[in-house]
Amino acid sequence: MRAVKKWLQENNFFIRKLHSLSGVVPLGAFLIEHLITNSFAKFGPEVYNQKIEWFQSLPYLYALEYGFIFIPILFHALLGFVFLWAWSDNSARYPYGRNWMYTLQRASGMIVFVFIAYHVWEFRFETQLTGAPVNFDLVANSLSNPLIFYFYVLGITLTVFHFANGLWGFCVHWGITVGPRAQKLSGFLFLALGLVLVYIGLDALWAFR
Amino acid sequence: MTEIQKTVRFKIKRQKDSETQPHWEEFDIPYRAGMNVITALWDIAKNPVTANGQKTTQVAWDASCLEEVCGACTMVINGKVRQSCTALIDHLSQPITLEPMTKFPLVRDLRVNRQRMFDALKRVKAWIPIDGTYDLGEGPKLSAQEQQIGYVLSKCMTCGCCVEACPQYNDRSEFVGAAALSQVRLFNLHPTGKMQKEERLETIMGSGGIEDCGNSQNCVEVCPKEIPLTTSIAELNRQTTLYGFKKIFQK
Repeated sequence: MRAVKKWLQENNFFIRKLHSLSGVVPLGAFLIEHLITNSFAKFGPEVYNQKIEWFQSLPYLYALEYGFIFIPILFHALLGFVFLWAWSDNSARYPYGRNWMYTLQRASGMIVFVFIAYHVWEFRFETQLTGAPVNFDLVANSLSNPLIFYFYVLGITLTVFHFANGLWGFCVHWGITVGPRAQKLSGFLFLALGLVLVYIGLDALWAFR
Repeated sequence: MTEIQKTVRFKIKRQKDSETQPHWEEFDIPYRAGMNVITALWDIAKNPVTANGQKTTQVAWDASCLEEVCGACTMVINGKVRQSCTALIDHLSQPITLEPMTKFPLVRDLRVNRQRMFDALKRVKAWIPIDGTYDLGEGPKLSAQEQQIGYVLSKCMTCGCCVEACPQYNDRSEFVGAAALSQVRLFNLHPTGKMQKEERLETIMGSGGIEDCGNSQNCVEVCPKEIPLTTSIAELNRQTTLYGFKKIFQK
């Protein structure tokens, strides 16, 4: 534990930068790809199943999954939980817009972690253990439970929020948007991106009903 | 017919020292036109009797310049951190609550020790070294544009508002806070100060430095001197990012 703390302190700058970068690439890029791929469900089970088979036939599939998805998610999430240590919420006392975003970014991160853990377990690891085929019916069956369906509505919305607001933070954190005008404009830009992604995500979700 | 005296109700958080439990005391102060929190505290000092007639001790607080340039009288007034000298009674809803800042060790009542802020200034090397073994002569000229930016940044009085409102600044973190970071920008902007730019950037790239900022942007909202603190932080993000790349690729 002490060794971890020392490592974090000594490499603070690069670890924090890597944490911020990992949220955009590969995780954010993967999120966009994933939401769009899900939308094939709109064309019916057959098209959707074809696309899944294509993904499952990719060469170096395990390396891609672990290198670009699982390990970055764990790195981003676990470090995120470590950084929460210094958080003392005061958004009720200082209820400014950005302070709410600051609080929501942390709150959404925690909920999204639970959501992704459940999602990955259900459709990736549980199916691997039981040998159940991953296809349209599997997803539709799971989502036929309204509780799970609305958990997905919440999960997708918060994931996109965390990503879009995280992009805003990324631009500040890397010194891309410096002045208040640039930060305001990028806020509107990422709000628009977030709304589009939530639409794509939820539209695909409803296609499974 | 006797005229009914208008009074102002105060609710003040009292605490003898950091060891004792705090308690609240209420005071009714005769109203005078144009009064502020400091003049009300003076009235209490003259006659330390609570609203229900009990004699008590004088309230301890800090004040110096009385014109919002020293930062000494900073406290939490009606839930928001600000200077008490510019907190006009006419603009405040009653009862007016006075509390000490929460992010610093308490000395007594409304008085705190802001040493951590001054230590932060030392840590980030917020100065320009001009001593040498020989006469270094004049430094390079400061452009009018740099003067304008620098002037605003130089108005910082280390009052503590920015860090009091900062959710990342507390006893679990070593964060230096927005005020000290903004001084790094000021001295990195100065043509002579630029010569130690990378040295200063190194000080804020360690733990407790700029990476501890969580972008809640409360600092810029509460800064009484209207210093563009979030612009300073983002500008330093740019400087440290570029310097970080330089460190990776040029060594």
